[in-house]
Amino acid sequence: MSSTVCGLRLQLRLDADPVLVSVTRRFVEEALKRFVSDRDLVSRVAMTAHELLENAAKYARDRNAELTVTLDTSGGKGVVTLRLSNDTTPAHIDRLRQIFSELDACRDPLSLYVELMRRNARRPDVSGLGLARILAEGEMTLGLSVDGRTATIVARTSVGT
Amino acid sequence: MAGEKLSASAYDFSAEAWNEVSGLQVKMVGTADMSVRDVLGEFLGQVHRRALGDHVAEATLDLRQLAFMNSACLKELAVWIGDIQELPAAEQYRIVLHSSPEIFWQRRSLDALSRLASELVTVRV
Repeated sequence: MSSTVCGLRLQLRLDADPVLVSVTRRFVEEALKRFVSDRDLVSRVAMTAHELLENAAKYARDRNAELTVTLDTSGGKGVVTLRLSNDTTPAHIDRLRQIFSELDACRDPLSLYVELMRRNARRPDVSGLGLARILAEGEMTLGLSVDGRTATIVARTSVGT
Repeated sequence: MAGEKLSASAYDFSAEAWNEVSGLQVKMVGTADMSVRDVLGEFLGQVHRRALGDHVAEATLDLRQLAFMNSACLKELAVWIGDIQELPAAEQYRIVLHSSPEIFWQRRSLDALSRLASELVTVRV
């Protein structure tokens, strides 16, 4: 069954250059503000877009990535969905699966986020906080799908809850 | 030297630290993202050394003009807090995170940071 998307649909195919991530975050934020008055929600979506794009900037093959942001208001209740797809290495796909395994098992996103801050503080090679931040601060649900060497991360949150 | 102002900047980010009677004042402006992570980490190391050298009781970090901070830069703040926690109790100093209610990410991010060391870190709005 297809659903009609009312509202915003952004589809950005981009070179995930680190210096463009904040520019793109601000674009997403400004676009969503035209449709949603909840500034806290807009901030959470913008943060999520930023963290996803930084992952792409660090790990995407050739830094090519596609970010889709939709606001679906059909059915009476709004949902914002962010989808980030990029090709990456098998090693990074393995790492994503490990991270999602931990995220999926967690019952308290904030406690996990704080624990990862503490745990990773002494690991200079990785941040490792981005997805946990999306879960805890962004109040998003998160999903991972892998097709060959393409990893897709989907983050979703309700509007007006 | 105690009176010398510390500063750092890169892209759309700048930071300064200076001494006042009330303690060490630190101010960050702009956007702290992956492009400035190393600059921020080095700057916070300097701030920590200044705080220790001057035996301050408190450092206030003014974030009211910081539009955004990414998770890697939040981690640098976590490292700073961890460095203080590892000190003997007599050498530890408090951190006050001064936030803006108009910058929405700050409430959740700073709450998470304060949970790392509630005895050392307070958030002021």
